[in-house]
Amino acid sequence: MGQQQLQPVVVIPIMKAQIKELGMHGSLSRCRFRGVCWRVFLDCLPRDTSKWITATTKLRKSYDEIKEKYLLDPHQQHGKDINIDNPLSQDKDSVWCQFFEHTELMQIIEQDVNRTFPELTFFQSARVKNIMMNILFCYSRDNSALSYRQGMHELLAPIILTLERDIIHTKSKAENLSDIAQHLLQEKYLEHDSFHLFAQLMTVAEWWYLQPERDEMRERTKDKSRPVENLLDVRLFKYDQHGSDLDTPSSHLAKKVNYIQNVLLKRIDYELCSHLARLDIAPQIYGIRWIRVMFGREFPMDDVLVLWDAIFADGKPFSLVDYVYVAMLTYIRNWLLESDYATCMTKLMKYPPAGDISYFIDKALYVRDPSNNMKPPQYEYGATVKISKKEVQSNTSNAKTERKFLASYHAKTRNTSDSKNKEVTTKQKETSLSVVMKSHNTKPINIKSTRDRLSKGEDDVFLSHSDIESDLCIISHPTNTKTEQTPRVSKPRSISFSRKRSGSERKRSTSTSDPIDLNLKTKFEDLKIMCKYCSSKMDSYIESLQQEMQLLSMGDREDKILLAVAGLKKVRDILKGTLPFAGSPIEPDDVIDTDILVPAARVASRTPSPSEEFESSIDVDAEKEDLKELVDSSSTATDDINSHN
Amino acid sequence: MLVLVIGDLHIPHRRNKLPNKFKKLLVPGKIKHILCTGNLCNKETYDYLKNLASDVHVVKGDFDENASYPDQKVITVGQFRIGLCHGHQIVPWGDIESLALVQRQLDVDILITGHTHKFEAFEHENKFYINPGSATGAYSPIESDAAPSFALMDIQSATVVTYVYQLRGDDVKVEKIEFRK
Repeated sequence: MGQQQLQPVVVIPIMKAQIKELGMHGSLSRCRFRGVCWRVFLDCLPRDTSKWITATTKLRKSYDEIKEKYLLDPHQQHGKDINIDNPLSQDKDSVWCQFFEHTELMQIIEQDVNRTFPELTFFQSARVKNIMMNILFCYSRDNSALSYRQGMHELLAPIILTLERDIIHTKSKAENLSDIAQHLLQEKYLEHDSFHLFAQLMTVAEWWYLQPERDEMRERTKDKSRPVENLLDVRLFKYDQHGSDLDTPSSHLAKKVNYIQNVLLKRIDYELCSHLARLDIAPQIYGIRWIRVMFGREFPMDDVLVLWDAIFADGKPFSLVDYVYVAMLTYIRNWLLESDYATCMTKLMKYPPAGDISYFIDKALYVRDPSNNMKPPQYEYGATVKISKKEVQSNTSNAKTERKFLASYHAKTRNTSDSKNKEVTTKQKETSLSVVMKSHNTKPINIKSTRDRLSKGEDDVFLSHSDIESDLCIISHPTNTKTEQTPRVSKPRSISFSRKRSGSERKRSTSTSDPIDLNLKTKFEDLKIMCKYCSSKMDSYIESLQQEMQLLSMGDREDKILLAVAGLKKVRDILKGTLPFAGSPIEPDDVIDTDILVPAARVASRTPSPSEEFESSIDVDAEKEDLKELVDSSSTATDDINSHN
Repeated sequence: MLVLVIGDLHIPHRRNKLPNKFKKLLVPGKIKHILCTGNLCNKETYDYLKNLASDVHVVKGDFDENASYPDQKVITVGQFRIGLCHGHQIVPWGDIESLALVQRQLDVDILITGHTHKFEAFEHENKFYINPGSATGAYSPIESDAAPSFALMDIQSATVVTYVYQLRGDDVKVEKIEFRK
C-alpha cells in the first residue's frame, strides 16, 4: 500500500495535514517515504513541493560548508603564521589547538557511537558509524554552547535508519520515481539530510540537554540555604536531595519531568501520582532518560519509529512527548500501585515490553485533549500479560476462568452503562465469536504480515474484545497439560485480587505458553482485520440504504427505520473504533458479587441475551447476515481492507 | 602523529630546570612518542618526560645517572625508521660524514643525535638528520652560549614536518622544516 499510495504524495503537491494524519495513526510504518514525511514534519522541506529540490540542494550545500569548517586538518594548512599555528601552540585560535579540542570531542562521540543500539547490526557498520560521528561532531561544534551530550546519538540513530530505509526501498524502483523523489533520496546525501533532520529535532530537544552551570548548582546544594528556590515554585524542588546528584532540579528537563509527574499525571490519575509521591520516587531518575532519547530505550526500534511518527506529525515543540510519558505511567499503573520503592524503580528503569504502541499515542492524545480525542480502551501491563499467557493455567476449570475474565471484563466496562450500547456490543460479541470459531482453524499464521497493516482503530476495537477472545481460545483449544490449581477463595474479592493471582499462576507455569501464544496472536490479528472489514462494508451498505430511503416515502414508519439506521451506524462506529466500546451485557450493579460466585451455566445463559430492547431487529439481522457473508471472504480480504482505507 | 625530540638537559649539573616557556608548551595529551638523545641526567627529568607521553625512548649520554640506557636505538614510527644516538661517540662531533656512517650502519631514514647543544636539521643524501640541541640551553665544550631548543616531528605517512622551538631572549621562535621520504 505504501508504494502505491504514497508515491503520488511525493509527486503531486500535498498538504502537510494529510500525512500528518497518517503519522498520527501509525500508518507511516509501511510507508516507503517515511523519512520524507519526517522531513516535512520537521520543516526540512517547505510546504510547496516545487521548492523541494532547491531547498534540499541548499541544505546539503550548507552542510558541506559546516563540515569543511569544523572537520579541520592541520596538516593541510599552509601559509599561516608558524608561531601561532604549531602543534604546541596555546593560542585558542590556532588550527592545532582547535584540532586537539576536536580530537577530544571526537573520542567522546566515538565512544557513544560505538555503543549505539548494539542489538541492531545496521549501526555496527563502519559507514554508519562514520556518518553518525561526523553529524554529531558537526552539530556539537555548530552549537558549541550545548556541545555534545550523551543521548544525542540515540536521537540521531533512528533518523539515519529511517532515511536509509527510504533509500533502500526506492533504490530498486528508481526508474518509477519522480525527479523529486530521486533527488530527495540519494545515498551520497544520507549524511547531509540526516544532519538537517537531526538539527531540526535538536531545536526542541536541546532544551532537554541544557543544564545550568554545574558549579553554581554544587554551591547551592552545599550551603543548603536554598536561595534560588523562592523565585520558583517550591513544589518543584521537593526532590532536591535526590535530584542534585543525577541532574539538577533547575535544569529544564528536570522541571519538565517534575511537571509531568506532579501536574499532568495528577490530573488524570490522582491515585498513581500520590502513590509515586508517597514512595518518594523522583521523576528525574527515570524520566530524564525517557525523554532525552524520546523513549528510544523503552520500546523496540520499530515501535519507536511509530511513536516518533506521531510526535513529529504533532509538530514542534513535541508536546506529545509529555503525554506519552503520562500514558507510559498509566500503562503500568496497577503494577506500580502494588509495588514498593525498589520494584517500582526497577520497572521504571526497565520498562516492561508493551504490545501495542498505538495505545500510547491514542492515550497521549486523549490525555492532552479529552474533548477532541477518543478515549482509548483500558490497556495495561498486567492485563496484556494475562491475555497472552493465561490459557496455560486452566483446562480443568474452563468455566472458572471464563467467569473470572468475564468479571474483569465487566469491571473494565462497568463504569459507563449506556443501555443501548450494551445491547449493541452483546450482539457484536456474539457474532465475532462465531466468526472466529469458524475461521481460526483454516487460517495460516501470518502475524508478521498483518501486524503492520493494522492501524489504531482496529486495535481499539479489538482491545475491548480481547478478553472474550481469550475465553474463546480456552474453549476451542483445550490443552491437556495439568497445571497446578490453587483452590479458589469462595469469598467475593476485588478484581485486582484475581489479576494478581493470575500473575502468580503464570509464573508457576510458563513453559508451555509459546505455541499457544502464537496461535492466540494469529486469531487476535484475524479478528482485528475482520472488525475493520465489517466496519468498512457496513459503511457502504448503510450508505446505499440511506440513499434508497430517500427515494421511498414511508410515512409514520420512517422514524423507526431512521432509528434503526442510527443504531447500525453506532455499531459500525464501535467496530471501526471511533466510538469507545463502553457497554456491558449484564447490569453493572453487583457484577463483582455475582460473577465470581455464580455457576458457569448462569453466566453463559445471561451473556448472549437477545436484544429485546433494541428498537428494531432488522438491523441486527442485517448485521448478522453481513457478518456471515464476511466470514468466508475475510481470509482473502486483508488486502482489500488496506486499499479501502 | 607528534613525536617530541629533546635532549641534553644536563639537570642538575649545568641547569636547574627546563625554561618555563617550554614547560608551558609541553602539555600531556598531544605528544605520542618522546625520543630523547640522553644527558637528562637525573631520574626526575626522566619522570617529567614520562609524564608528557607514555612512550619515552632514551639513549645513554656521557653524563647520565642511569647506566642502563642503550648507546643506540632504532624506533619505527609510521613509515619511518628513526635512529637515536647521543653522539659523543661519533667523532668528529657533529660531522656529516661520520653521522652518515652511523645512518648507514643503522639503516634508518632519520638519524637523531645530540651532544653538540646546537640545533641542526638537514637533509643529506635523501636522509634526514636532526639535532635538537639542548632543551635547557646548557653549555657544552664546543658551544658556550647555547640557546634552549627542542624539536617536534609531525609524522603523516611519508612526510615529516619538523617544528623547531627555540628560546630567543624571552620569546619562543618556531620554525618548520619538511622532509619527504
